[in-house]
Amino acid sequence: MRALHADFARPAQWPVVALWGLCVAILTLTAWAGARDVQVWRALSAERIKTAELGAQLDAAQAVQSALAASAAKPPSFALDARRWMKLSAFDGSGVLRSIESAQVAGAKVVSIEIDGDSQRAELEVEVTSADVASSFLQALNAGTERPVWALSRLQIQGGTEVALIHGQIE
Amino acid sequence: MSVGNKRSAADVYLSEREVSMVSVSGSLWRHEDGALAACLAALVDRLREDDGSRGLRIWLGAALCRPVRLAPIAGARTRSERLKLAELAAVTQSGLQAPCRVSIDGAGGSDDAVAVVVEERVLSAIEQALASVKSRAASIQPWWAQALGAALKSNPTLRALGVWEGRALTFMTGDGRHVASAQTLYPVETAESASAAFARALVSGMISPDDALAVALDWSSSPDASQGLQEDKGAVFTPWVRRLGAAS
Repeated sequence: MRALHADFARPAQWPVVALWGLCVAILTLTAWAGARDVQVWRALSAERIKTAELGAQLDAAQAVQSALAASAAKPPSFALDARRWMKLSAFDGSGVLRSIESAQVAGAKVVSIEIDGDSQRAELEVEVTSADVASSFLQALNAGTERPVWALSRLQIQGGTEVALIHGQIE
Repeated sequence: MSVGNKRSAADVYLSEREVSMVSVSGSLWRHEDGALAACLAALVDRLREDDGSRGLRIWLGAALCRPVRLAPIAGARTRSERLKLAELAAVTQSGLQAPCRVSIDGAGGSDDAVAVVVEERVLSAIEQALASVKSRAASIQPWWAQALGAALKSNPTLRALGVWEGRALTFMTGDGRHVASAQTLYPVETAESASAAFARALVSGMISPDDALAVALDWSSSPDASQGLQEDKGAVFTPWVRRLGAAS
């Protein structure tokens, strides 16, 4: 024998209307969620663009501020020029030249004179026949001053000639 | 009375003159009346009191739902034509009143088709009754078929089974997967009459009593007297099933 099967119960059926309603509800929810996501995405994109623009503006403003700060730290060129002109006008160049001319020592010959008005310094190259001559020339330069203005900074032999390098601080 | 394991759904046994329900908790409720409508009305009242029973397994007695062994149908050309003729033959042989709903097992070409027949009025009455308490039937099956399945699980070489319940005796015989006979006798009022009828069926089929099993669904028996079917083989109402002829 074999087992016999018979079931006369009607299978549970979902009402067709309910099924359609469920489908419509699911579709509506899906569409609503999709539309909301699109809106959120668009808003997010707009915010990103706005943020990027604000960032660029901020960078530009910072660059301007940096430039202003840098320019404020540096003294204006006209002020520098004015200060230099004042120093130059206060510097007695002709007096320096006169004192050099007055220092006539045999065996000493002034080769070059460099005067820097900014630093109020002068540099002389003098060909001398010996170190004693160089010393005499230096004494002649400093003659009549309370404290020495000129100083021998170097004495060297170039091509058989002795050259003395003398610096002076003129105030 | 509470008997047996916890169930997933309440089991309802329904016959022409009685209705029994074993709730999910295992408690038994019974009602006996002279008509199916009165039995269903009592069940409805009971279900109204018991809010928990929403899905019910309905087990029909053989008084309402019967097997019919169909003879091979000659002359039918198509499967649908063969099914239609089988349905007509089943209703005629079952002794039930048309219109009926017929479920045919093995009608696809085998020559030992068995039809299970139930009257439409019974199914409609059950569905209407349950709908009135917003309940529904998870299944509506013949209890004898369920008993047959459980008996074959216990003894696959079983050659004959007799089931006496609700004043009806159903017996089925066969070898292997072949079904030699399937029939319901109604009414069979006493257990002795049922035993005698089943013994005659065994003799006519030349079947040894050792290869046969006869059980009775006896609600008045002690719930501990189960001797016929095993619950772990899928049987229901096992506490009230006993071997036919055994003392209750």
